[in-house]
Amino acid sequence: MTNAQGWTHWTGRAVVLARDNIDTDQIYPGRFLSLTDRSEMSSAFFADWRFAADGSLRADSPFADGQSVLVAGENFGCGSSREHAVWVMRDFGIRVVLARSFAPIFKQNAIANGIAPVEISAADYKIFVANTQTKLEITVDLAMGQGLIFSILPLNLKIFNFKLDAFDAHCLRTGTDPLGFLLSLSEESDSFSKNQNTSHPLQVYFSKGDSP
Amino acid sequence: MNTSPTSLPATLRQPPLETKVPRTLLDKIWEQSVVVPESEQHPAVVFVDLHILHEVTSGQAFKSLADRGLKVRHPERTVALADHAVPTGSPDASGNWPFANASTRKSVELLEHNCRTHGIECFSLNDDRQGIVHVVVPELGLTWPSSVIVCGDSHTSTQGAYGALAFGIGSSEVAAVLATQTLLMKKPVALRVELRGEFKPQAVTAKDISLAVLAEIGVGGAQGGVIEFTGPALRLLGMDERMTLCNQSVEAGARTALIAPDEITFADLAGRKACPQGEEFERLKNLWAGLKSDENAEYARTWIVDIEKMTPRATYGTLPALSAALDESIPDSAPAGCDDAVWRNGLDYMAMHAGMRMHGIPVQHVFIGSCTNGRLSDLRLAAEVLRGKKIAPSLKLWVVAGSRSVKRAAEAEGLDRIFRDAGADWREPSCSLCVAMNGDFIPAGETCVSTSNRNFAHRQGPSGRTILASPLTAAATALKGCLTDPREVL
Repeated sequence: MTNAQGWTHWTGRAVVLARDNIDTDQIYPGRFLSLTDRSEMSSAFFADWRFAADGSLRADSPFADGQSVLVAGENFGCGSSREHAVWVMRDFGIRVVLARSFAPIFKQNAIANGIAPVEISAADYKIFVANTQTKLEITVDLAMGQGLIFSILPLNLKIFNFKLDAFDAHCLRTGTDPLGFLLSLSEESDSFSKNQNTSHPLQVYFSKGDSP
Repeated sequence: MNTSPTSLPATLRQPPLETKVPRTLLDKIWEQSVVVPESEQHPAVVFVDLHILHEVTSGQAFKSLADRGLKVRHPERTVALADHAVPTGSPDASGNWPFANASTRKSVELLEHNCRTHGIECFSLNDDRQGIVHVVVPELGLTWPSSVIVCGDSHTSTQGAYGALAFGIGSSEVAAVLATQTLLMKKPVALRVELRGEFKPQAVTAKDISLAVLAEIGVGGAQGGVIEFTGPALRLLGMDERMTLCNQSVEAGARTALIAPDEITFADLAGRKACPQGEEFERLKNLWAGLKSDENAEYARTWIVDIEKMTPRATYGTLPALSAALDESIPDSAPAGCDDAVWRNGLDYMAMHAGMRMHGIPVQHVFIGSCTNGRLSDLRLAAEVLRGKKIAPSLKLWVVAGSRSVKRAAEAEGLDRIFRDAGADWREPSCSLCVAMNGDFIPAGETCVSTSNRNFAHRQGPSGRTILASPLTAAATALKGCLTDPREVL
């Protein structure tokens, strides 16, 4: 779950899911949540979109091998906080999500796993929606806050701008992981916790023994 | 000392400018919780008072600690519960629980193992305090106003009802809190929902109010913000009902919700075990009583919702924000802020259509439970409807108490008998059909009226359909075999 390597540029094929409010139950259905081993989780990625009830591939699945940029509408990753959604997304190969907006916990989870959650404008999103059947190649430059949409047929080239928080971009580019950063501040945290002048509810609870 | 104002140092004569700025409840909790303020280089570092763990989102976090050779920094500020993967069937004569499969069993055992290794208290299957995290933690009195409480679970917002800044985090953040007791976070924006009204109309519960609020805000309308519920109608809502409201706030995209602690909050806390008694409680109460937004405090946005004109509601699409009154029809077009394709896909998935009457929609399953509506007051509401009656033979009703303690209290009142006599299945506490990962699920193509929080496609099982409603509506539906306005049976 650590963001081992940083990156600044990414180029890859897009999968366009022209929908708002894609929730984490779609990305990682609940029935797979009991899996404890990361290596067993991969096939849960958009399982109900990719596979029919008998396990065969669905003809209408938008997913294909080699896609590494996912495009979606508003409020992407809403619902459950499950980081499993991001783990299997990364296993599938996704490194960039271009969306109109993100649910806050999903966004944090993405950054912690080296996936860039990039907010794009309504106008740029429309270009993707109009080209869901086209093979689009996307290049994203985290340093510039810019990307390039490229399609061969019809030949088309379009630069788009995006919003990414400076600290988030820094984490993605350097591979900085929030846990490492917080550990470096443990002196401050320790003195803060010592200065807290109230008792703790768990301490009160357990001081009363086993009485109800 | 009799010092004239002019002799005071210049800095004391005039209060600093910022003290004049009215502050919100969120501002006040935030200020006392920040270890290192936000800067251009990084978000704020926030201290976590209480960290709650469960079996689904903690396993990888503990693994991450092990991989890095880290310890849990404050096991005494951490508590764990098993809830998501827990079976709702009863244990056999030798005490073995009927886990659905090896992986659900393993996830609970792994939680127990990790807690033993790190000295964390864990209320698992062998403990009579077991139950859903957001039911048990407030029940024990662990949810103190002004605390920062986190859990790898989005519905941690439930506990905002006590005036705690309580929110869900991902597993990487669970690891960070385990190792440092802190989080990196940008301060969320303060939003407000003002609840107006002097009375609650017949059969309107917190769930109906919540669905109406979500319809007003829209599914992403509160994205990333913290909703503070204010207004006179809060006086009409007890702690269980306030928890239902705060629980569902995340379905509007909010990070969490808050309600300023008041006499109702203090009366609830007073008898709970994790709450001090006597002078110490009085001291805390005085501290907490100051925790309210200043007059004229500014919010990025305010929604005003009047509860007096409300009637019971239920959802019709695959987003909690898509709901309609039970005495109305499904609207002819998507509401403002909802993409038309999302709206139509949702209706298709639910086998519903625009203009369809809500009342009478066929239903095969009813689920009463979850962290939204699995508390004693919820079960009492449902039991009142079902007392002395039988559910429709075409339908299955499951009642799953939110905790062992709720189950015991319900049994002491005889509610279990009412449910069983009506034809319901009275099951063991678990998240059960809300998250549908413990082996409980709704079969493909069948519809469940559920008191839980999410009606997303496939949420209760592949191609299963979910209608969110209150415990009253759920019970009325169970009697009639189709979506039913509870006013018909009360």
